[in-house]
Amino acid sequence: MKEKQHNLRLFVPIYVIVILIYITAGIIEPQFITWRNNVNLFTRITPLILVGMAQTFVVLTGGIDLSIGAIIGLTNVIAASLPFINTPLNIILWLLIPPLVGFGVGVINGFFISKKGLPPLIVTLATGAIWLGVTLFIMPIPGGTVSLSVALTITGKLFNTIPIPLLIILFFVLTGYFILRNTELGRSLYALGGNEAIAYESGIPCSRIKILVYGISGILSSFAGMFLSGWMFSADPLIGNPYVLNSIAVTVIAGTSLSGGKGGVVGIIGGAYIFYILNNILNLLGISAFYQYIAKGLVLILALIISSPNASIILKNYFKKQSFFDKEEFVK
Amino acid sequence: MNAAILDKKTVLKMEGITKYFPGTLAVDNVNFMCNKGEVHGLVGENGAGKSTLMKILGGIYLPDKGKIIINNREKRFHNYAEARKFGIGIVYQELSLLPDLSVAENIFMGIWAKKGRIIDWNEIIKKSKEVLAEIDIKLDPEEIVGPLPVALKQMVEIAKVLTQNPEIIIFDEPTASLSSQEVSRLFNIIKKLKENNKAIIFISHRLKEVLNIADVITVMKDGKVVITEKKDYFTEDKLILSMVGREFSQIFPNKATSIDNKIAFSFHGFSEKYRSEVKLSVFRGEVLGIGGLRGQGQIELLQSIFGLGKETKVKVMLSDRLYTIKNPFQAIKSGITLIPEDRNTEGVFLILSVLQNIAASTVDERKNFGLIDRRREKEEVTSITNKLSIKIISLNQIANSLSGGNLQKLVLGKWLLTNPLVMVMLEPTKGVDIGTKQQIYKLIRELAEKGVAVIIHTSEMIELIGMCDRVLVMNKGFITADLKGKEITEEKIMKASISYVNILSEDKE
Repeated sequence: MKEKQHNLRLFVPIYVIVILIYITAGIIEPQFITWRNNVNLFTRITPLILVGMAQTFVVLTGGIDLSIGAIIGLTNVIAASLPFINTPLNIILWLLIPPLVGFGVGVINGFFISKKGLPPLIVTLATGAIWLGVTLFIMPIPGGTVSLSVALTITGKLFNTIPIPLLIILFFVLTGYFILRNTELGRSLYALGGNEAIAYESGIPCSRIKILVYGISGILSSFAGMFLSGWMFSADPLIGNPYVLNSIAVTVIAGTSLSGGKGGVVGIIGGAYIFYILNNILNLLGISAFYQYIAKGLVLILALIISSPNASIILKNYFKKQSFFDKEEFVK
Repeated sequence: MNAAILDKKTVLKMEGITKYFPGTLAVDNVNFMCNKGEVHGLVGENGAGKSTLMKILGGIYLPDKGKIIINNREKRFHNYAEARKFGIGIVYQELSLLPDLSVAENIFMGIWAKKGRIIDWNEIIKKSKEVLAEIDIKLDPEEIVGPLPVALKQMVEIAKVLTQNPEIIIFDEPTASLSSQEVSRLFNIIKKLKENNKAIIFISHRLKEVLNIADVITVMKDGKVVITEKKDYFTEDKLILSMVGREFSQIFPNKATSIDNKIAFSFHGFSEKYRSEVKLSVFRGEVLGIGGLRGQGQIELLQSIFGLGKETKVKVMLSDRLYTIKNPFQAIKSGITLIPEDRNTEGVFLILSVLQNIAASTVDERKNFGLIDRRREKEEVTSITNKLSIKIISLNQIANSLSGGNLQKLVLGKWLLTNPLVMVMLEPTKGVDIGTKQQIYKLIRELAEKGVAVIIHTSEMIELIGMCDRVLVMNKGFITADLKGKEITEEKIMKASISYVNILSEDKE
């Protein structure tokens, strides 16, 4: 009855799970908790966190973005096709062009969804196919390269101690948290996901916000694409494919409701971590790729079941009945 | 329990029913009984426990203590399906029909007559006709439900309940969205059910109707039964007194003593449905009521003031300035606000917090370098919750745990923060308890005195008469009466509500 909206409290269970995994893994394999392994881990979960945030922003408004994978592929390829000789101009171009492309592509999604009233699921599925085609046209097979210093910076360490990926993660998650909590945009996202008709009647510029949120999703996805190009030191047009499912899984595991209006970005580091560890365990156990796909699908469905309002109602009712009978027995 | 009402055969007895919710005792040791062939009125403020009691009877909640005895046998049920088996039928306030299906399909939803494995449509349509005839409704079972008027939909809902052949039928605020004509039709059905020896429980906020239809009335307050007596014992004043401990005459604040001749707000609109032009103006300091039967274009007209109409460009005059309103965004920026008819689907973000709800329309006004000034926001929202005495545990509480009256206050609070010049209210007190109604009336009067142009559309005659300084009656999209001061009487409003229909039919001849 007394449900409260404490954004932070909502994310406690996730981090409890993360710590449990960490401790268990540490006991089984002490190598796991070494600093080196963790630095490596930050690098691996950075793109997951970026796409998780992209998807979370969209999902909070009650939408979904299935073109995330294609945008990663496109920007990944663009980042590795730009001139890679180290000049200040080249570095600026490298930093600016992919996010602009990502934003533009996202805005196109947003345009069809808000101005034409088309369902996000179909629009982003369709534009995703288009951008995948464009990507394959630009670069049919893996190749390209990026500036060596950029690549080394992205996966390197600041002052030789603090891993850059950790800084990237903290920067984006904290900024995201701040935007959702302290800006008009953040408020509007929740309002839109809470009930679009009421949001409209409350004077919230719904269509502008929607276009913007798909644009933001595009930018964040393009950062993931750029990061991957820097990390791999080259590009792969199909690199984004798994990230559609992954982004949704991270969003759901991180505690955001797919029906919109509930959740946030604080759980995303934990969500990405759990999802990555799961992959890692499957790899370590030597389970082949197609079983891994099956496992991922099952995990997503499980996460959905746990987070769906139905599940919590069923559980509540179950415990209510239990307590009722208990009390009665007590009386007798 | 009063022995005087035990004269007929008792079909339902609820003994010592108690239900706890975290922090509240929703129903406290309640005894309640129903006889065959009797209408039992159940009244009380919102939160008095009548809905919880009926939800226990309908199997939606389990009681923490107490017995439910039906036909002298103790029963226990865990959901509505089980309750139905023991002869309990509920006609809900919010209709549960599927709009795209036919009347017959809705009536027999889930309990299809079958030939082998195939649904026997002829049988279903035949049975539907029987059920509809039983309550004297002439309706084609193959008609689609969606376009039917609310009153007929409710009849379909009643027919649906009747197919289960219940012994006890609960009507949960069935008249909340009906006009007085439709109400009398519903009452005929209830009388007929009564003749067929059903036990009927009738819940309503409209006390006149309860006094009209009920044989026995139970008043609940704070989870307890205050009194159960035969109807003759009660008058409307007595009922209110036992519900809240206040006299009826104290409910409405005094009307405006002097009204300026200055127009605060005027509007020139066009009704698509009735192809009619409507002009209305509100004078400074007055509360304007819009009356008439339901569905005469009032809601469309008032929504268009807020930029929600199909006519996308609406011109309004506000303190000598002309505005063109295309959408709610512009309306709000020009100082126009609208309290929607259905707060659950159009008014309150149920899954968001109290703070997010109240602050929703003014977020952009509390920005500091692009960021929300959270401290100021909290202060302003708190001042609203205090002013409207909204009962909450914290500002972060999710709205869906609040009662109807408090939800309506959230909508009011949201608009108060925008410092509106015009407040259009559609059914501002629908499904709200008397205590909250009183607060809302007081607030409306305060706003009008401050110079806010207040327009109220209500289907409660008593509100038009008690609250408004001027009443416009609408009929088929036209304004058929402009009543002031002492002219505002039930007779005059009713006459204007139906007069134009007569003129039209004369024209045709």
